[in-house]
Parts: sequence; C-alpha cells; structure tokens
Amino acid sequence: MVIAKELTKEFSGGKLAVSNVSFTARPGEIFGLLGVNGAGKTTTLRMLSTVLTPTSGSATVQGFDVEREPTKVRESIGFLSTSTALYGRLSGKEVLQYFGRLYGMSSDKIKERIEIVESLLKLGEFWNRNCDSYSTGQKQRVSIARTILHDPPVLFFDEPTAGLDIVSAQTVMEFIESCKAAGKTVIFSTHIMSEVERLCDHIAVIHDGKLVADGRTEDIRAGRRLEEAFLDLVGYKKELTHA
Amino acid sequence: MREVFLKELREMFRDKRVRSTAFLGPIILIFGLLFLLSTVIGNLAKPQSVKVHLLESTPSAWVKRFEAEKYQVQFVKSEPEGRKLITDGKARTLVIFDAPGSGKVLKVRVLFDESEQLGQIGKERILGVFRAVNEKKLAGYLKGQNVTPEMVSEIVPEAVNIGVTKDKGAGEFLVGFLPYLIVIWAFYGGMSSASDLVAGEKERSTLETLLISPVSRTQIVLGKIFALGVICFLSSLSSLVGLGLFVGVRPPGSEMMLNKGLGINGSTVVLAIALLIPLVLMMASLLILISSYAKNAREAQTYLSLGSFVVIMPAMFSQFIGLTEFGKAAWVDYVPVLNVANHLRLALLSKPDFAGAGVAIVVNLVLALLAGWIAVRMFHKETIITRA
Repeated sequence: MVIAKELTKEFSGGKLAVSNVSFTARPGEIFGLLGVNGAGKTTTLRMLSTVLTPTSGSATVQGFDVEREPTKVRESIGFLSTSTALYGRLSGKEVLQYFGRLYGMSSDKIKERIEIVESLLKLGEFWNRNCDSYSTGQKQRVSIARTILHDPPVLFFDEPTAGLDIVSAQTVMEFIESCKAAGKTVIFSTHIMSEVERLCDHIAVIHDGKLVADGRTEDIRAGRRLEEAFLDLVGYKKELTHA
Repeated sequence: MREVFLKELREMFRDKRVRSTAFLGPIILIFGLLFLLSTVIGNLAKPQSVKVHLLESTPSAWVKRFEAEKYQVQFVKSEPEGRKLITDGKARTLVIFDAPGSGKVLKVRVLFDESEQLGQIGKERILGVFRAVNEKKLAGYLKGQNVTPEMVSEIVPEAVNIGVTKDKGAGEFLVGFLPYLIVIWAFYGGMSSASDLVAGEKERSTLETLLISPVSRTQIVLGKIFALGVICFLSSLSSLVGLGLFVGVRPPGSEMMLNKGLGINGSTVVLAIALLIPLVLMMASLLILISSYAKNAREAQTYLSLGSFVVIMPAMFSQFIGLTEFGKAAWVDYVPVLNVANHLRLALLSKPDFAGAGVAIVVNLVLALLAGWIAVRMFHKETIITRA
C-alpha cells in the first residue's frame, strides 16, 4: 500500500512542483496518476521512491516512511519509466545479476529469480548479448525484468509507454495487468487516457502540482469519455476556432 | 560499493574508447614520441657534412681548410647573392674574407640569420674553425719564444662530476620526461570514462534507477571513484609500457637517451606506487566531482577539458623544475601533481626524499578525501537528479 499525505515539494528558487497531494493506492489495484506534462506526476513519484525529499507532508510505502526508512522503501519498490535505463556494455543477464546484488539478494536467489523472469518475459534468445544491440522491445522486456527481479510488492510506472511502438507498449500494458493480478500495488503515471481507461481502477488527477480529483475511474468519468472529464478537471477551454 | 565498483570496471574495460585512450593511447604516444626524439638526437649526433657558402674569390687555402673540416663548400658570385640565399633559407652561412687591414689581420665576416637555429649552429661551428686556427698560431708563437701554455695560464679549471654515477639514476632526458608522463596520464586516462560515469548516467536515466536501489549514495560514489582510480592508475602505468617498448626496440639514437639506464629499482617502484595511489584517488575524485556537477556527458567533457589545464600546468613545470632552485623547496611538496612528479624525478635520480614524499602523499590523500567528500555531498543533493 502507498499512502501520501499532503505531500509538497518546493524546489530552490521557490518553484512549487507539488502542493498538498494526498492519496492512497491499495494492493491489487492499479492507481492512475494523471496530469499534463509538468503537472507534478514525476516529482510525486520521485518523492515516493525516496529520490526527492518532500518539503512537507509525509508518505509511506508498505508501511515504511519515505523520509525515515528510505532503504526499506527502496527495497519494496520497482520503478519503470520510458527510459529503459540499461547499461549498453552489459548483457541483459549481467544487468539483472547486477541489480540483484544491489538489492542484496543471494546468488541462489538471483539465479532462481532470473530463471523465473527469463521464462516469463522470454529473454533467453537474446539476453547474453550486450544491451546496446537490443531492439526497443527487447530493451523494454529486460527493463521489466529488472523492475520485478527482487519481487517488489509496490510498482511505480512513470509514463512507461511514451515513445514505444505499439507492440512494445502492449508488452508493458500486459505486464502492468499481470502485476494487478499478482496483488501488487501499482501506481501508473501517464497522460494517455486510453491506457488509463484500460488499466486503472482508481485515478488521481494532478494539475499545476495540486490534486484536482481522486476517485474510482467510473466516478471521475461520470458517464463521459475520460478524456472529456480530464479536460474539464484541468480547466481546458477551447481556444482555437477555424477562420 | 563492491558491486558498483566491479560493474563500473567491467563496463569501462569493455569500452573501446577507454581501451584506446586510457591504455593504448599512452603506449603508442610514448613509444612514438621517444622514437621520434631518438631519431632526431641520433641524426644530430652523427658527424655530418655541413654546407658552407663562400665567395668565388675566396683564397684556395681557406677553401681547402673548410673541405678538410668536412664542410661541403658551395660558391656564390657575390655577397648580395649569398645574402639572398640566407634570407630565402637556402644557405645557412656565408663566409666572406675581406682584404687584410692594418697589421695584416685577416678580417672575416660570417653572415647568418639569427632567427634560424641551423644558421646559429652553423655560425658557431665556423667561428670554432677560426678559433682553432688562432689557437694553433698562438701555440706556435709561444713555442718559438720557449713559453709553454702552462706558463701563460693563470687558472686551469677542471669540472668533476660527483653526482649520479654511471650505473645509478636515469639519464637527464628520462628524468625530465618520465614523471611528467606518469602524472599526466593519471588524469587523462580517466577523462573519457569520467564523463560517462555520472553525467552519462544522468543522460541515459540509469542514475535514477541506481538511486532507487537500496544501495546508499555514498557507496555508489565511492564505487565509482575507486573504479575510475583503477583506470587512472593503469593508464599511468601504460605510459611505462610505452617506455618499456621503446627500451625493448632500442631504435637508432636511443642509446644516447638511455645511456644511464632507466634508474628504476625496487625502492623507486615502491615509492612511485605509494605516490601514485593517492594521486589517482585525488584525480578520480575530482573527475567524478566534475562529472556529477555536469548536466550531461557533453557538458562534463567541456568542464573536464578546462579542468585538465589545472593538471597540465604543474605537470609541465615538473619538466623544468631541474633547471630551477625549487627541486628541493618545501612548498613543492604541497602542490598537487607537481609534488608527485618532483618526487618521481628525485627517485629516478636515485636521490629519493622519503620525508618530502610522505608530505606529498598526505597532501594528495587529504585532497582526495576532500574531493571525494564533496562528490558524496553532491550525490546526496537532489540536484543530482533534477539538474539533469
């Protein structure tokens, strides 16, 4: 479970990136964090993953406080973004072994988990080659394997399909669905409404760093298309008209 | 820390840029440079037939004299023609025998171009020919007067070398050259990797993934610093491989550069390693610090290029410190880079200064710790992610 209470982040120079954001993401559901570019989604996820420290407010991940128990929080989460974040001169297998060791896993445990993710994501055909030589889809599969190698109960996805082709995006979507089925807590940050409609049980909309909506997807939609509801929430007004 | 260290080392060893710039580069550069210098020195040392230009009207006795001195005599019709050849760079010297003046003193003018090094050398050699003639004439005259040269010499100076004996210490050339190369590659060897280690990771977004792992940021930085330190150290040693290759091949002219051996023995090696380890740690910490500050790899490269001047200046001064009074000055031990190069120089001269080397080691260790501490602090700041 992830609980954020009045999370606020002000950067030096006075820029308020996130202001009093509160929400709860529960196990076995996909929690969508929606917002336009620069709304504060990534900053929120970075605070939850302990990369950034909140200016005020608090958050817990699996019951661990992000400020007081950052190592426990990091052990509990997996993070996947658009960037595959792989090391070009290491093979996929070496990347997984490296992260396994960083997460303090024993050699036997790493071997066991690698076998599981290898068969799950069908990595065997290419993972002994250096990551530099992978296709985008292959990179994304290894990235997913890295994210779940230590079997975290909480998963953060920060716009994981941005820039991916339709096949690679489909792999990611199916993986997110499988996380829900496995009872994980999933926070999914995006601005692609079709993905939200397909995946999310619960959504929160952030605009200009503030939470403008938080509820079940169907409640937010209120009978409209999600896109329309979202545009209403962020105060979009039609500005251009045809001459 | 161990995992980060091993992973960074593995990646760097697989990087062609690192293999070529940090390891192969110093070997090829040092060997090539020494080969070129030995060729030049070998050619200069060879007895050569040097051209001298004379007027056609030059007395035949003097023509024969120059030919006897192994000069290749060439004639010009007039002084203006000779002057033109010199200014055009086609002749080094023109010797003009003027009509004898009062007392029948033969007046000779040696025309040369002062801006041309070869012209200056040619002028000195020709003046030497005339001095030898004068001395011979003087000796003949004194002999006729029953006066021995000792009777007219008030002082008979003799220079006695009590310094490095022939079988100890390196030749002057290596003493000036080798420490410079060793310290300079401790920096340059790590330069290509440094931009990739933090700034490159920011750019590829792998840094954020690393920071989300349970490993502490301090361990991440230290793992990177030590891994880069190994590369800097090996790069520094690669310059010695280049030297070793040169010694093994021994091209023509190398005997003059290696006439006193290499001056490397067990204590030199131990002292060199003791000096180098804090130096490479300091360099690696600085490189990581710069890379951490930069937004991306390109910006890091720019800062690193600027930073290299800070290393080059003391390193270059180390080449000339033997020409100054500063070789034994205490302040030198407190100047990073220069202190290591100077103590390597003294060790190569078989005059190691262990106390001064100890100060240099402590100074560089303190600076390494300081730079490492700043790098760790920088990693703990949010700007390590937000400034990307």
